[in-house]
Amino acid sequence: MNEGTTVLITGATGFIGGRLVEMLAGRARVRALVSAYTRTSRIARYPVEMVRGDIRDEAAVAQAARGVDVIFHCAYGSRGTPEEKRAITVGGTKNVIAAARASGARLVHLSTQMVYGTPEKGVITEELPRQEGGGTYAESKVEAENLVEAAAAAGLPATILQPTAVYGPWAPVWTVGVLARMREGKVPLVNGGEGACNAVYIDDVIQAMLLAARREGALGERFLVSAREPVSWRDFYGSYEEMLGFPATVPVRVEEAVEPQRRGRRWALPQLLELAREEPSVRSRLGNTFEGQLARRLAGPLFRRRSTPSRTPELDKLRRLRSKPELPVYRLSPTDASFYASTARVEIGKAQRLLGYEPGYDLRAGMELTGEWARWARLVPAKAEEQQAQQKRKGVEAQ
Amino acid sequence: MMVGAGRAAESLHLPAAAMTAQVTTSVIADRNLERAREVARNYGVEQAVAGAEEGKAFADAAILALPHHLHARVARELLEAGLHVLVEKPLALTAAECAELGTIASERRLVLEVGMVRRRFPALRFVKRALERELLGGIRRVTLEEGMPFAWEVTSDFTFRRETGGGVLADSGIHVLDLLAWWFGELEPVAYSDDDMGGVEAEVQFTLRLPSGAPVEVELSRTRELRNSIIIEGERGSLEAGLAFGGALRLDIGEAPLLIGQAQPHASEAGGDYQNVRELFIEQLENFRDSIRGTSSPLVDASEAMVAVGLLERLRAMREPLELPWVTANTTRAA
Repeated sequence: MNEGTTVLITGATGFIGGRLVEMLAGRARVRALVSAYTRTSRIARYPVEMVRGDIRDEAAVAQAARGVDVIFHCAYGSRGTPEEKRAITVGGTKNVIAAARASGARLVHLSTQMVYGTPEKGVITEELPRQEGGGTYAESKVEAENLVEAAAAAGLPATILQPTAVYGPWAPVWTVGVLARMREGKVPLVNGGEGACNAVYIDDVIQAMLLAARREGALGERFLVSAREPVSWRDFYGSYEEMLGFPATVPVRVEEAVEPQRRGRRWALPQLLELAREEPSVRSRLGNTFEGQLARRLAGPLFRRRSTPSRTPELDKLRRLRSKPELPVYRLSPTDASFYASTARVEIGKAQRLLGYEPGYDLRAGMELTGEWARWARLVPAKAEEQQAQQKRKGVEAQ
Repeated sequence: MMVGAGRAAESLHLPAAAMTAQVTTSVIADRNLERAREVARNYGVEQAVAGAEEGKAFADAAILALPHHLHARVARELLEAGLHVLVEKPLALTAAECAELGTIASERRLVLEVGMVRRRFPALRFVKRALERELLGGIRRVTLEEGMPFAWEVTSDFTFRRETGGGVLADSGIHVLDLLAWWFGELEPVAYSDDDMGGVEAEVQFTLRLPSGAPVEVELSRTRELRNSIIIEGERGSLEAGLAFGGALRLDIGEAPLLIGQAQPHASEAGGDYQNVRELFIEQLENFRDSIRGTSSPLVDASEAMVAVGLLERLRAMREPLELPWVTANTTRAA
């Protein structure tokens, strides 16, 4: 990428597109397709040409792509009905492909690891078949990938990237969303959080995107993009607990984590009550769910009379000290529970071989920057030493 | 004449004009004539033209709500054509332009008022009164934070472009500078940093100093939810005021009980009973109308507006980049 290169970024006001703007501005001529100016504060800090247009508008996309060398397609449907989301993810990709063809631009299409579903174990590689039935997001991404691959087979210079759980500054799901959830409740760590967390720091995704835009071996290929090794969900969420300064997770078995109404007949009420009777730890955890708290309010005395002493009182006491008992435990959908229970690890060998991709961030390094940003963004408290320094400074200046 | 048919005109100035006695909007001027016509239709305004030059024959006063970089030029043209002018903030992008406009208005005996509407917010008027009456004693320290994700549904990108005078400092920051100058008088710029990387800044931190040496620390953001208040710490106690319309007040003086309340109870003292921000625009327009009649004077004229613009210029001149490690982390390898 050099100053003579002109790139078009779709989804530039979003998380990944926004970081791409930050990393490309000054190194290439950057054009951003924006649906409204309201969300452009972040990218407007850079010398970016903002073109107003809707990704669903074929003519607008074609106009925005005129004269560009590379299109980074990051836009996808994140709001609205499933039909509206699909119209943006699939319809938008269709328009981007047409625009890339017309302008002769190279296309880097951002997809997701979720197109492979959630295998229970083993290794996830690009050889796995893509799955249907993974919800609107994953299904739309599969459809969009199919369009890109068909276009590539017909000669369009295109590459598909499939990042895992992308975290870092501004990440709506895996940073901002996690912190928001942890402030309001406790996140269940399925099977103690021992499942494989295939996560990747945002800057490594950008690195892969930039490589995909210039490496010949990238053309017509799809690449999984993740950190060098998976970590455990316990460590991933533990990083956010450290930032927040209080525990916000609770270990659960996969059966405990799932929303009762979605379990089907096998998980009818009698079985649930039986499980609760037999397992004090399960009972206390169920009691800390949103539904459990409601049940306690409605039938408090009855609930207490039936409770039995814990078989591990010391451990329970420790848990009570560690956790915030007033916060309820989130429930997971069966799909999410499987996702967190999975021990399948994402293999990045293909990206390493053909793109020259080498992740620069392990969890510690990525979370360090994420934490700095989160403190600045006021999503987590300032570090104790920073707070002390602020207090000290106030004292000095007030004298 | 309404000059500029963007969101501010549509949602604030034109409704105010429609509800202000003895004010009639005769013409709407906008470079985008289609937009001018649409807005004119919505407000029952007879004329829609493609520019102030074309519209000035139909009016004796004008309200300007244009991209910042056009304020000075269009205000000058209209003043020279003999129209009274109410200009949205900032009056201009340099103090020299403000002074020039003030001189033209004064020489021609025309009213030039600047839309520093926040001076009309009840809680912020209370701050002014509290400081005038030295309620807190000598001031030791002031901190002001204003920030929220930008949500104004703008119809153009001027506030996001450098060449049109965009950025948070000239936008909401000019209100903050005006308020600080109004409250505290003389202020000395000490330090300024922002995150402008070749476009316009979304994050700003700066420090001013009061004549006593007490620091005034300010943080502005277009992306983060900040405290959105001013805290003034004095020898006798402290005062916190919410910066939004209807913001709460918290006064803590010595042994006296902590007072927490909305600004409205003080509205009678501040001179108004407001239902919402639009009413402040009516009040502003009434002030403009009465100033033209000679029965009042502008709340903020060119000389007062010039103080805030002068501070803005001096702060920008000492700009340092804001440290944002997660942005500048080494990312050169792949690029």
